[in-house]
Amino acid sequence: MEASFTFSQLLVITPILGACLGFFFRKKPKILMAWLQALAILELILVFILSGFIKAPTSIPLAFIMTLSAALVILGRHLDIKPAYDLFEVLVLTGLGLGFLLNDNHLGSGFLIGVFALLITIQLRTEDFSNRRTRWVSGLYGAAILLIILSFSLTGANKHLVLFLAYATLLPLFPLHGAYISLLNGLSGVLPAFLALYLPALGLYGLLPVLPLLPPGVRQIVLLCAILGVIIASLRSLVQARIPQVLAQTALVFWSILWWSLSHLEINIPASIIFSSAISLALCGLFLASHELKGRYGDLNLDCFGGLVSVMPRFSILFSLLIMAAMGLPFFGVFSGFIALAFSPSMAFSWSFIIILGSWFFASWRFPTLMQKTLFGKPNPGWVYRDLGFREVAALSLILIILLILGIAPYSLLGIEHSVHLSSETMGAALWNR
Amino acid sequence: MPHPILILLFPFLAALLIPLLSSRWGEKVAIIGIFAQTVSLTLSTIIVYDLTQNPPIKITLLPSLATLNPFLGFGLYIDRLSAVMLVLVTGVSLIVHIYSKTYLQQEAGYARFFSLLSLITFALLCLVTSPNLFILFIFWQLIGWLLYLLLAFNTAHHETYRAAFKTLITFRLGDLFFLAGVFLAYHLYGTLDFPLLFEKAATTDITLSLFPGDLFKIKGVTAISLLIFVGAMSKSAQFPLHLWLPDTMFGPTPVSALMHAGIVNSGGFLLNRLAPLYGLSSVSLNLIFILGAFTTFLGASMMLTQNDVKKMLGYSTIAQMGYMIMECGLGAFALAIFHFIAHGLFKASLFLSAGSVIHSTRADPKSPKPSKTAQILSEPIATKDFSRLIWFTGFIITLILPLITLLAAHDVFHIPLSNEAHGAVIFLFFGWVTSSQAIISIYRMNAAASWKVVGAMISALVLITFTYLFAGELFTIFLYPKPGESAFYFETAALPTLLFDFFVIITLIMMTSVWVFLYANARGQHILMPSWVDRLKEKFYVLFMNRLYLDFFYQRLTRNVIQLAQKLDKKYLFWLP
Repeated sequence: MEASFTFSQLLVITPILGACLGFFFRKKPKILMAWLQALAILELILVFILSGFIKAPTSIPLAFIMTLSAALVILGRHLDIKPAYDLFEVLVLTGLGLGFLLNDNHLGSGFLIGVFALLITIQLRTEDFSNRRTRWVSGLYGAAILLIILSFSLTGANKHLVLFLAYATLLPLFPLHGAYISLLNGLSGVLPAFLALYLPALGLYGLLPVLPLLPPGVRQIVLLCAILGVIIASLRSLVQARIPQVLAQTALVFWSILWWSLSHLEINIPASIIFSSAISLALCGLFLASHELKGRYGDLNLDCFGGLVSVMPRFSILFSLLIMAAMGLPFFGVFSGFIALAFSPSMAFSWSFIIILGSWFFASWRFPTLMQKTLFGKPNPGWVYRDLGFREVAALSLILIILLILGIAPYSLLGIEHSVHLSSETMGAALWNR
Repeated sequence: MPHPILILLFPFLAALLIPLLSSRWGEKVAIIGIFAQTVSLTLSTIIVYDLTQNPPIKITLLPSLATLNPFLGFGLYIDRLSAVMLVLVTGVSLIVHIYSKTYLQQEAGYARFFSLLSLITFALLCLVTSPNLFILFIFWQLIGWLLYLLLAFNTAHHETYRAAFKTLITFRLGDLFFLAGVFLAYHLYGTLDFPLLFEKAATTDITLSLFPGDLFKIKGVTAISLLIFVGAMSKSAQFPLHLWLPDTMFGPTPVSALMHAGIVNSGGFLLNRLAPLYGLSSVSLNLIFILGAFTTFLGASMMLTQNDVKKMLGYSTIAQMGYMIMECGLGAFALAIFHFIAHGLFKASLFLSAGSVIHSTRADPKSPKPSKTAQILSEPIATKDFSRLIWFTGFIITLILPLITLLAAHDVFHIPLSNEAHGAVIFLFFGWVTSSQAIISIYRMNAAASWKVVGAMISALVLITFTYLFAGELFTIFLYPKPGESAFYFETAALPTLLFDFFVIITLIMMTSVWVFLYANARGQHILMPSWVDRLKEKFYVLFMNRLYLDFFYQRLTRNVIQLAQKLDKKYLFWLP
C-alpha cells in the first residue's frame, strides 16, 4: 500500500516537475523539445515498470495510453508554432491525469479538480470569456468542479449520480459534450490532439465503477442521450467547413456509440477500453495530422486544400491510413473495439443498434470526404508545399502501429479481462425476441 | 502438395516488395507482381486437382491465440468452391498484371498501382478461403476500400475520384447490412464458423418478431440471409445499389477488367458459400430470384439506351450479375459460378481490348477501322438477301426448348440426368435463353441463305443446351458433391409451377416478338402499333436512358439531408459548439 502510494506520486510528480524545469529552456526550442521528449519517454517507461504496483486493473491501459499519447504529440509537434505553452500543458495535464487514475477517493478527485481548473485556465488564455466556446468550457467544467466537491458530502445513489454528471462532461455525452468540442475546436498547438484522447480516458475511468450503481432509469436516459448525440453529431458533421470541426463532431458520434454500449445491462470493459483507446488514438492522430497542416499553411479550411497526394506523399499515406483506421476498417483497433462491443452478450438487435449502424455509415461518409478534400484534386499552385519531417512521420506511424496492435492484440496481453454485470432488470422493447 | 498459404503469401509479399523496390527497380517492379500471380495460379491449379481426390483443407494459422481475440482466428478453408475461385482470381489477376505492365507505362504512381493490385488480389484470395463469416466480412470490407483506392488512381481527375467515392459509399452501405447479418447470426446461433453455423441454423428453428406483440414474424435464417444478401447486392451491383458500376468507367482499364471479371462476382461467391444457409429459406431465395430478374431486365434495358460504349459494358455487367443472382435464387448455385467464370473471362477480354482500342485511337485518329462483322451489323438486314429458310430455322429452333422445358416442368417426360428433375428444368431454361441469344446474334450477323448458317444455328443450340445440361450438371456435382445437397437447394427454391410457366411464356412472347420484328424489318415492313404504344415506348426510352432517375433521386436525397443538417445547425442548434 505504501509502495503503491509512493510510486503513483512519482508518476504524477515527474511530468509536472519536468515541465516546470523545461520552462527554463523555453527560448531554445530544440533543447526544449529534446528535454520534453526525453521526459515523456521517461514517464512512459516509468508507467510500464511501475504498472505492477497499480491497484485498479482498468487504470493500467488508460495510464499507458495517456502517457504514450503525450509522448507522441510532443514528438509530432510542429516546431514553427510559437510559443510552445501547449507542450508544458500536455505534460502537466498528464501528471494530473495520472494522479486521478492512480489515486482513490478524495485525492484522485482533487487531481481531477486540478485538471478541470487547468483546462478552464488554458481556454481563458486562448479565447476570452465573450467567446461562446469559453463560456461552454468554464460553465461545464466549473459545474463539474462543484459537483465533485458536492460529492464529498454525499453518499449512496446521490453521490454516484453527481459523479456521473461530472464524468459525463469528460467522456462527451450529449448535451454535456460542449466543453470537449469547444476545446478541440478552439485550442492551438498539439493540445486538441492530446485532449481528444485524454479527456475521454479520464471520463471512462471515472464512469466504469459508477455506472453499475446508477438507478435503472438513468441508463435509459443515457441511451436516449447517446442516440440523440449520434443523430445530431452525424448531421452536424455534414455541414462543417474546417477540419477540426469535422473531426470534433465525428468524435461525438463515436463517443455516443460508446455511451450506447455503456447504457446496456452488462458492460464489456475490455471492449469499451479497446474501443475508446482506439477511437481516441485515431482522433489524436488525425488532430496531429491537421496540426501539421496548420503549422505549414496556417488554415484548416477544407476548401483551401487539395492535391496533397502529389506534393506531400508521406503525409498522404499516413493520413489515408489514419482515415482508414478511424472509419472502422480492419485490422485497426476501432473496428476490433466496435465489433467486440457489438458482439457482447448483452447486446440485442434493437432499433438503437440500427441507429448506431447508421452512424457508423455516416462516419464512413465523412472520413473519406475529408480525405478526398485534402488529398485528391489539384494542389494550389501559389503554395509552397513541404512534406512531413522524420519526427512527424515517426509520431503518426507510431499511432498507426498502436492502432494495429489494439486491433489484433489478445485482450489478456493488454491486461483487461474484467467485465461488470449490472443489476438484473431488462432493457426496453427489443427489436426481436426468440 | 505445396502449403496452401503460399497462394496467399505470394501476392501479399509482392504488395509489400513493390513499393520498397520501386525507387531502385523503376517500372521493372511489375515483374514482381506478375511472378507472384503466376506462382499463385500454379499452386491454385494444383490445389484444384488435389481436391478432386481429397476432402476440403482446413487450416487455423494461430489456433492458440484464436480463443483470446477473434481477430487472431485467421485461417483457411479450401473446398472445391474456394479452389475454383482461387484459380479464377489468380488467373484474372495475372492477365490484368501482364496487361497493366505495358498499359500503364510512364504513368505516375506505377508502383502504387501494382502494389494495390497485388494487395486486392491477396484480399480476394483471403475472402474466398475464409474459414468463417467474420474473416469473410473483414476481407469483404477491405476489398471495398482497396477498390476505392484503385479506382481513384488518377487523384487529380474530379470525375474519377467522385465515382470512386460513390463506389465506396455504396459498398459501405452494403457492409452495414452484412455486419447486421453477421451480428444476428452470432447472437442467434453463437457461432460464425461455417459448418457449425449451417448445422445450428438447420437444427434450430428461431422465429423473430420485428415489433412487440408478435407482429411481422420472420424466420431467423431468413432475416440473416436477407441482411447478408444486401451486402452481396452492393458488390454485385443489384438494383437499387447498382449505380456505382456504370460510373466507374473513368478508372484505369485494367481495374475495370479486374472489377468486372472478379470483384462484382463476389456477391455470387458469397451466396454460394452460404448456400446451406440460403437453402433453408425459400422466402429469401424467391426474393433473390425476383430481384435478380428485375436487375437483369433493368440492366439490359438501360444498356440499350446508353450512347457511351463503356457505360453500355457497365450495364451489360449489371444485367449479367442479375442473371447470376437469379440463378442463385432458383437454387442453381453452381450454375451461377459457371456463369460468372464465363462472364468474367469474356468481360475481362472485352475491357482489355477496349483499353487497347482507346490507346490505338489516341495514336491514330482513323483507328479503329470497322471490322467486317461491324459493317454487316450496321447494314439493315433488308439490303442483304433475306432467306426464309434461315429465319424459319432460327424461329423454330428457338421454340423447341421452351416446349421441352414446359413438358419437363409438368413431368410429362423425364430428362435423364442424375440431378433432381427440377434442377434439370432450370438448366434447360437458362440453356434456352442463352442459346436463343446466340441464334439471334448469328442471324443478325449473317442472314443470307446458307446451310452453313443453319448448321451454325443448330450447333449453337445443341452446344449451349448440352453445355448447360451436362457441363452444368457435372459442375454442380463437382462443387456440391454431397448426395442430395444440390437437389435440396432446387427444392427449397422451387417456384410454384404456374409462376414458372408464366416466366417461360413471358420469355417466349419476347423471343417471338424479336423474330417477328426481324422478319418485318428484313422485308422492309412496318408493324403498325397503336399510338399509345409508341408514346409509351418513348417514355420508357427516356426513363431508361436517364437510368430511372435514380441518380437524381440519390443526389436529391443527399442534398436534402445536407439542407436539413444546415437548417438544424443554424436555426435550432446554433447554441451548441
